[in-house]
Amino acid sequence: MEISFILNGNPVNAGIAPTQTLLDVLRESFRLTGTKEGCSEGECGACTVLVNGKAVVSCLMLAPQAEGCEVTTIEGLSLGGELHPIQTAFVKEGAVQCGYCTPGAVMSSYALLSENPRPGEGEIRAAIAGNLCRCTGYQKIVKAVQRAAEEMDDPV
Amino acid sequence: MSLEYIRPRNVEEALECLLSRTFKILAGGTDLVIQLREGRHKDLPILDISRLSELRFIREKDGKTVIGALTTLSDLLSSESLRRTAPVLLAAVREIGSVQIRNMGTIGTRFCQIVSLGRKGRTRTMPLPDFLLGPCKTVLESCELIHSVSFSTPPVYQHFEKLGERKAQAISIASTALVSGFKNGRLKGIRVALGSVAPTVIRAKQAEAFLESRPLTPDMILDAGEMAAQEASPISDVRATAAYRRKMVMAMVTRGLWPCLKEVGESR
Amino acid sequence: MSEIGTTVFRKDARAKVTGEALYATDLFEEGMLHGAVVRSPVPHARILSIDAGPALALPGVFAVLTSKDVPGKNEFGVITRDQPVLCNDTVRFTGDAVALVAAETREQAYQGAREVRVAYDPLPSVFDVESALREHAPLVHEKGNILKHVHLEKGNVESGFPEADIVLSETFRTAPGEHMPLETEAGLAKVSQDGVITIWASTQSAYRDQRDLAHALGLPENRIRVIVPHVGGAFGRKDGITVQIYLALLARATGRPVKMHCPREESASFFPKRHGTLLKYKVGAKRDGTLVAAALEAYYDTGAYAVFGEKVMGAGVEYGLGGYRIPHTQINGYSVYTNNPPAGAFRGFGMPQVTFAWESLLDELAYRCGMDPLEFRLKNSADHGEEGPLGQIFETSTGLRQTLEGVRSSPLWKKRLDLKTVSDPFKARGVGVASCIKGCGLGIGMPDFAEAEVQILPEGTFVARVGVTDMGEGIATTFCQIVAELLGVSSESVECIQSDTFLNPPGGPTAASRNTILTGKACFLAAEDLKRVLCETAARHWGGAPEGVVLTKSGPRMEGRTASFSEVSSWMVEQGKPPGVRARYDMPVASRPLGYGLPHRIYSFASHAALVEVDRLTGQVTVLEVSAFLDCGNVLNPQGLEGQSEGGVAQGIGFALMEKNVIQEGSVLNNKLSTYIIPTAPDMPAVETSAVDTYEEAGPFGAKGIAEAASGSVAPAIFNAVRDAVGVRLRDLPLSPEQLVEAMMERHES
Repeated sequence: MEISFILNGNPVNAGIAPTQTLLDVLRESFRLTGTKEGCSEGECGACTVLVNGKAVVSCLMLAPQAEGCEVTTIEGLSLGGELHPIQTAFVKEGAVQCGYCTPGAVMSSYALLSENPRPGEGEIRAAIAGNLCRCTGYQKIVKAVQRAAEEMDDPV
Repeated sequence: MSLEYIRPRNVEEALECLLSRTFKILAGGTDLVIQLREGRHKDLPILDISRLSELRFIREKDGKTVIGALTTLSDLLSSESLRRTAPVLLAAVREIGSVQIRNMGTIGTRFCQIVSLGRKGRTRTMPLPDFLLGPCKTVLESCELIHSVSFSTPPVYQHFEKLGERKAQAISIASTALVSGFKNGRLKGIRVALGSVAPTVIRAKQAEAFLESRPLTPDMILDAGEMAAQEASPISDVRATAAYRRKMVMAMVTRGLWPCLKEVGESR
Repeated sequence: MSEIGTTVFRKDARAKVTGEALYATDLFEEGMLHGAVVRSPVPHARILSIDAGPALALPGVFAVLTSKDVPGKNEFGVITRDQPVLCNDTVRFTGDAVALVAAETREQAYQGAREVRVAYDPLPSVFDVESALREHAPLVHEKGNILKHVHLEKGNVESGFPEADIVLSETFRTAPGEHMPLETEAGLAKVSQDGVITIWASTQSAYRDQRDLAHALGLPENRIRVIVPHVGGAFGRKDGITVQIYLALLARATGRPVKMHCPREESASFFPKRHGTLLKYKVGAKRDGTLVAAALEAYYDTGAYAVFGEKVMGAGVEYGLGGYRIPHTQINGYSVYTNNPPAGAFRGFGMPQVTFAWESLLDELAYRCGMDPLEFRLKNSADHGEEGPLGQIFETSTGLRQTLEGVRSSPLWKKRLDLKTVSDPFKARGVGVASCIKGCGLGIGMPDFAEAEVQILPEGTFVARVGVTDMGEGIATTFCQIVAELLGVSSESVECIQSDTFLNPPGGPTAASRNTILTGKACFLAAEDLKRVLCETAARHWGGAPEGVVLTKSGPRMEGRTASFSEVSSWMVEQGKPPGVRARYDMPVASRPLGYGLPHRIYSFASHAALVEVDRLTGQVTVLEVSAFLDCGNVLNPQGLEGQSEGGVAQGIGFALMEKNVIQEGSVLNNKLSTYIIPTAPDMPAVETSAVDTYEEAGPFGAKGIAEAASGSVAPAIFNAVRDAVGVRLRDLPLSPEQLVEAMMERHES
């Protein structure tokens, strides 16, 4: 079947099988490989994207569900080559190690800061609880989100 | 793999589809997509009801709350009225999955007292215990959809505790929800619900009756915990043994009731 | 020093935060097939027949390969090549590879794998080390179930134990565990027209893989090229062959590019795990807390194949009595085959298991001696120049004492009595401490060297070519810092190009806390040499003596003359000099060998203090705070060190409180991220990291590796804190809340 949706701001079409996940379509049809497969059961969050502004796990969303939706992937955050403040904060705080969870964690942080521009530490931890990271121990991810919140609130 | 995918425009159309043949229903997707990946429901067409906005609502009127079946868990968490009337429900919802899962998952069959089911031309309403038959088994027929869940505003004291293997995204080992009012040194309208310690969520009715029978004391709380533990029928799995689960019912009911000692004192 | 000891942001962070960084799972080739493995559903059996027919009849299935299609030697393994690439006559664990399928899509490949019909004749199986060691136990391999027995003695325990006033004997068990890197095993292989097979793989060990691939494919090593893209975490899991040989076989047989990307359940069921262990300890001390004698019997379940088995057990032997002074010791280590899935390398390499047990036991001994557990450790810790528990001499930087003193001066330790106070009647709090020791490098007898090539590019920037892989820890950035510091430039102008067996010099695996020292030092030496070449080149161009040339950030300078690095680069071409220089560094070996590849010469140490809260009703333990004191020599990149430490603490907490493979009759029951529990962000406490003041002469700028020690003593610190909180001690890891509840009740009743 054929679906159309808005991908990182651009209208797109794709021929898909109805049971294909949005994750597979993003990676295979659009080669947007920043969205990762870590578990295929919605547990690790490496495949987190925004659908109509809400963070979802694209491995548990069937591609046809994206029909007509606005889908934002990690590649859509730094359009034009300029890093988003969250991305910059991840770099500067050392929140990136192997990087496989990073795109998902950045997307969850983006969704959080869109709804709650000045989250407390507990709120940040709760917001990224669905993004498993095996390298960093999360402390630097939390710091990166705090830093991004400050900088987005008070752009230099 | 099923090759057919239908997205009805409204509930009417959805129910019509369901009368015509068997579908696999896609609401939140958080369970269905996993099942598809496991190779289940191979040949069934998919009926995507996730956008039926008629079934996505939270209404509160005259002490009764009605929640549409397709209301997402995140919708619940951002509801002002639920925050006021049923914090115990929100405490439980907060423990489900992650933000991403709560953005996708719907209340569906979860957590409610009264369930309304609709089939074309007929709606039936029943208490939750009648709806639940066993693990992943309900009375829902293949031509029916869940319409909504409803409950009366619970009494003022509300407590929820879930025991998991970690602090987030944990599958429950056991959980307890308690609500109660207070009158003349006694608990009034106490409800003790136990999760993951029986084939379905259950209420510890003996413990409830005992707790209302006389003025509350510390010993009564311990006895009620013991009773609730006996009312559970847990199993052993990779997460915990049946024996531990039973003990935890006792532990959590005790902990949940403990603050009531102070509250009943004030109601005297 | 401007580059060393300051935080330099990791070079690959930008590519990783934008999603541009390509991992093995992200590779796509025109016309590629997908591979899947047919795996044994039974733990031990003879293969009667294999029928590929039903699979080949499926749409999209392109090829099925069996052991007959392995052109070289049908075997692989790091030390002992006892694992068949594809089983020929016998399967030895549930998941043993029997056949390979290539198909047009990943789904079709896995569907095909399910349809290959294999008939098995079951054989008796054995699933735990005690049963495996019994007389007449079923044999996993013909040579017997003991892969390796190590026996070491120092002094005389027979006369030693009677000298002790207090003797404790305890048995500990640790469960097998999963690495759970976010990226599972994956790769892509392609055969080029000249017959070279190129394998892009998520691996820690490109050069060893090349050797193993050549062995199994019956090809010379120069026909095999291994390239490592970004690696999505490894922690030991990818130290060796995972899917590389399968990929090469399939690509060679089909003539098309082939990709494999293991689903999580396959990854978590069938690839080498952390060893489960059975550890029997005895220790004796004088009443004043002086350690007198210790004995350890360590049993490591290596599963159906050796992988690293004997070396992991050897590490248990080496680290099993820590870094303490003990005059009389005896250690017996056994690496034992069973029909469980194989066990291999996992951060710490056998050390975290014994450290958990030993540091728990020492803690108990301190209580029995009526001593503060920290003072007890300080009293017995060995210093530089002293003899360790095996009889090794601590002949290089030795910071155990400093890490313990660090704990003593930490706010967490100083305030521990106040921190124990908690108002909730159902909760209790406690503080615990533990230490660990971990050698840097592979040990005696295994080739342990690394090379690096540092080049100047025409544009005047620099490249470090190394043979190892940054699997997330950030080592590539460290190499850039080292090179930059020596050349006097900014690390911005140095790039590190990692594992490519055709283009880069060999470096051995990214493992064993070895790369800061080995490849780091090779970069150091190569950069030093390149600096000499640059100065000579400029001197010759200007007609002066090389000693008169100084390198500045922008280029060389001599008596008022300056040039850019780009100019020097062109002068090098004019002068017929190659653009780069190579250097090699060999890991220094211990001056007193003990046999069995023991001991190491260079050790890192760590001590951790943990504050925990125990729920008296449920037995659940929450870690509230951790302070880490690390002996990593001179710190090259503070942010990198904190990253290692915080991640190490997270893995330590998982190891202590959550992580356990539930294996029943050889089958892994919890092979998903929803059932194998690793810590989430809300599970993690605040972690405070400090490096103690030591300097390792062998390492670059005084540094040594810390990856493993940074995690090693977390678990016993937690168990010791639980003991402090509620007065009971558990001996099985991970901590079972159920056991803890029972133990608290027993204590209450008695």
